[in-house]
Amino acid sequence: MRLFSFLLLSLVMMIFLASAILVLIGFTPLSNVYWLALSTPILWLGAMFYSYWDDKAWRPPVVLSVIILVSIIIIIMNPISQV
Amino acid sequence: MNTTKLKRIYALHSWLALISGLFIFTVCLTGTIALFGKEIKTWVTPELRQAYTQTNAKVNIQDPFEKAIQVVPSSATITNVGILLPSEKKPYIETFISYSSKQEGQETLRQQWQINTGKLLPKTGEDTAQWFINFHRFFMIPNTQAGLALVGFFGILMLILIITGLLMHRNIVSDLFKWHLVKKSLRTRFRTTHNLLAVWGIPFHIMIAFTGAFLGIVSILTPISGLIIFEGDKTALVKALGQEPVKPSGIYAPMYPLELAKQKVEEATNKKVRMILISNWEDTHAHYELFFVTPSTLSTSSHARINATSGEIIDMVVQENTATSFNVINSMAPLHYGNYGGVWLKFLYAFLGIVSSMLVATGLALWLEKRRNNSKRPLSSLNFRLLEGTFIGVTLGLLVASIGVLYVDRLWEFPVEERLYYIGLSYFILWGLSLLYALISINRRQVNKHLLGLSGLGFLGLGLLDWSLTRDSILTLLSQNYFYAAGVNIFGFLFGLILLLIVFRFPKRSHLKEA
Repeated sequence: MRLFSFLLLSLVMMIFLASAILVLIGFTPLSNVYWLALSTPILWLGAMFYSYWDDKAWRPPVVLSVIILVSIIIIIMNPISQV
Repeated sequence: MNTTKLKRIYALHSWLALISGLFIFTVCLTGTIALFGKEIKTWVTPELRQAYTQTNAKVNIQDPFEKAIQVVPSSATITNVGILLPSEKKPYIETFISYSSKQEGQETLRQQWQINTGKLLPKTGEDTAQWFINFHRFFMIPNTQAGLALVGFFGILMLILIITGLLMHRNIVSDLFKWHLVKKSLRTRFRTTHNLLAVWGIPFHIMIAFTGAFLGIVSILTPISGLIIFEGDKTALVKALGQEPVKPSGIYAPMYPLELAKQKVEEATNKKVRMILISNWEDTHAHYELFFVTPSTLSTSSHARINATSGEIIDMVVQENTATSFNVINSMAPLHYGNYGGVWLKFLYAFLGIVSSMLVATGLALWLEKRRNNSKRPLSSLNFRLLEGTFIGVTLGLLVASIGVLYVDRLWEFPVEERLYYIGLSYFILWGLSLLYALISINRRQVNKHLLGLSGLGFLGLGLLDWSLTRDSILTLLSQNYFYAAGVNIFGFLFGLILLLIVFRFPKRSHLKEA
């Protein structure tokens, strides 16, 4: 479970969470995008690290999956025109 | 932190290092060599050696540029033009012209020109210097983006190794001053060396891993995020990022002389131009982008935009006028490549790069020693030999391949178009042979000595090789202002001596006997 979260879920979570944050903060000013770009490696690193930090083996995949799900909902609920 | 968590973090650190250690080592060592990619270039390709002085640095670029443009077929449409002005490292003018034609499709013409005479230099192809840079950046994986992302991924793994290492490390302060190289067991020697290299080099390890990870993964993951938002519409993403290129109008307009544009910007800004990009050639929407030399600053994108038909300055992008976030992003590449503080900073980077490589190597050796002496789950003799042979073959073999490929490139005359391919082939053959030797040899201490000694001799002989092929001694090179070629010979000699000294001072007892 931890390895699955470490290798796969962390990557998927980073992509969708970054996308969701981008949808929420928007492209203007452009500095938002730059700060987000700078934080993507940290998001990924954080998720990977969390996969082995939590004492319960089942918790990281659940938490990461929930973040992915919420991120997808945010992206779907915000049409492109509003970005 | 409780014991269970500590054990888990320790297991993560060990297994992650074991699986990714050799890749991280390869990235670190090739990166250390790639730091000097531009410096190695004129050594490996003597045809490009030109005397670079302050006088000829003020070169007129109009002539070579016009000659370069004339080579393009008249029926073709020029899409982009790039000009690299001469510098001490690259003492020649380099032009890149991209054009599209019905016969040839999309083509890029790359030419190099003499500074003084403006004559075309012989075509040399991509050399070993380029191989080192490309191999470090994307492992020469045909899909460059995927290769970049993979190397970036190893940057992330290196960061995790650093964090887990710090969490496990209980005596950071006392380990700053502990280094047992004699009288102690091999395991203690590896452990104290590993800890010492880790703790003293921590700011560099974190910086190089983070900037590497950023440069690798962001180039691919930011567009992915953007495409998710825009449901795959790349144009919408580019538009949202404000990076939409100016489209050509399709109306012919004569170009403002490039040399005049360069002089105008240099006079207005008091900055030296290092590179020029031209868009929409001979179109009313044509413009020049002139990038400045920015020594001692963490910036590579300071530039002026000029209307290429009227010569009017459109805007300036310099560090002082741009947002903090942009400057931080912009500082990632100079921070990673160490090209913001002259050659001495590069030597510091190289030293710390070797420290990072040795950190990984000592970590792997420590793991191997622990497992060999583990009373509960000792490694079988065969597994131990396989792992030890692989570690030695990959790490020292990489050094042998890196120095050996310089000899191969100088001694063999490869076809210009396929030069890089043959360099890569030779590199992997040399690396593979070293690995094979390490795996089949019984005496591993001898293998270490042989591979290290071979590398040392290789470095030592660089000057001799250069002299035998060009008849240029170090003094001749210096007197002719070929500083970087001379520098490679001098550095090679000194580094070779250090490696040979290490071989002669190698511990006499084999650690196999010691166990």
